[in-house]
Amino acid sequence: MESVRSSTATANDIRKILDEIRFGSFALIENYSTVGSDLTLYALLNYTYERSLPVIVEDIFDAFAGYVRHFEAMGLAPPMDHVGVLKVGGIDDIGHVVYKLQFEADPTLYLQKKEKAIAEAMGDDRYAYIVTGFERLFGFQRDVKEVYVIVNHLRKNLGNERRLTISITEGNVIEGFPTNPLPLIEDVATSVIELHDHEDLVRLDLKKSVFNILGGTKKLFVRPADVVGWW
Amino acid sequence: MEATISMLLELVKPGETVIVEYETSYVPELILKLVADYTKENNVPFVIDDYFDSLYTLLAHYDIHDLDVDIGHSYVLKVGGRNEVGGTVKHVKFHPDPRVLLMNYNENFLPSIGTETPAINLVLGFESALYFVRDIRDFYRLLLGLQRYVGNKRRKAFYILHSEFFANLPRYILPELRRIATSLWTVKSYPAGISVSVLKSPDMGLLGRQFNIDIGGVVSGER
Repeated sequence: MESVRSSTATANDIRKILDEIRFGSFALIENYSTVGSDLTLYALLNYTYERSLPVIVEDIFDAFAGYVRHFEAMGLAPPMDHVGVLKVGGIDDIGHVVYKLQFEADPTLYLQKKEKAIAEAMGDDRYAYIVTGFERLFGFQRDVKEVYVIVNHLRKNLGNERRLTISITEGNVIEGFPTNPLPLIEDVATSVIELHDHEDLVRLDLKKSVFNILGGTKKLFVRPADVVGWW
Repeated sequence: MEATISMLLELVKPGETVIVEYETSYVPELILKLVADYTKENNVPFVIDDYFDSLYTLLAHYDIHDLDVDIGHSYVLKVGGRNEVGGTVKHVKFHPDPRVLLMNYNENFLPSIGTETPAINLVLGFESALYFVRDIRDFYRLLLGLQRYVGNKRRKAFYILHSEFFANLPRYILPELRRIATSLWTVKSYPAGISVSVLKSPDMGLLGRQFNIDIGGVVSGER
């Protein structure tokens, strides 16, 4: 354990990883830890603010609202002035809501409306597109055909130079759905990072990546208390 | 480390929703007793959400062993079930449609708690309500309704959940509950007390820590 402890990640390590996420790519963060999603979102809001990068958050079924409620309990107030929120279903409007979509079980309808709303909100800017609650969408899909419609949409957006897509997904939830589409989504993703609890640390498993950090290691340990002190 | 129930409850911030998981044991009985004594001695409002006679069951076990637990000061929101026990009892009509259930619950919850000291809200038997959830849409309606209470500083809520129960429910349910919670504890009992492991907390310094609360004197009335 001592060696792990002495080599926990620094703010710069995390910035380096985030700098590697290119426009047009799709980064999938799969959270299996308890506080990993909260901390990831906290880091992303701060990082994008530092980089003056506008953000659109897709808040599916109040997932983003839930994380923000956690920030309040943690006594954290990450920057949100550069963030627009696109609500998909849900009842809890938190943040600067730019558009509200009724939830549609039919993914074709949902995807069209969503893209139209993002285009209207972001104009010609380059932006980070952070998806929260992505897994919940799949809970409502009745068969694999519908899952493919969503996955094809992700594929189509690979190479979209105006957009840097990051999805924060709860691994235990998505694997609990009958249509567990995780392997399909991982294949489309440009990078996949799993978050796990490791005693009082969070372990980042760089499962699929071109990241070359810390001498090519595939694992990175983060002390949660450090993250909330970085910004 | 050795701890007392006041220490532990005071580590929880107003507005928190805490998931407390246990496996078959007297853990719920012991928690009820500890929290009842704490709220009484410290004049903290005590709200119990009692799903389907869960509270009655715990009290019956105390009776059988000739042990005492005083919950006369509690405010009970009784959801379903038949046996009225506790201090002031308000009925929340159970309804399998979460929209109706949440409306009934919301009407009763806010009047039940004061505005000064945050209430301790113990939720018992919530697992049973999950059995009645008909489909995924209903589950999310219920979940998002609960999430609206996260951050409500008038209370600290503790959902006492029997973790083995979730093996019979769709697999996404427990991870979703853990996700919306601000804290996650697992509690085990040992002969002299309970031990609480903190798996999730808004206070990063508490992650991975374990607290042992001695209980011998509490149950035998020697305190």
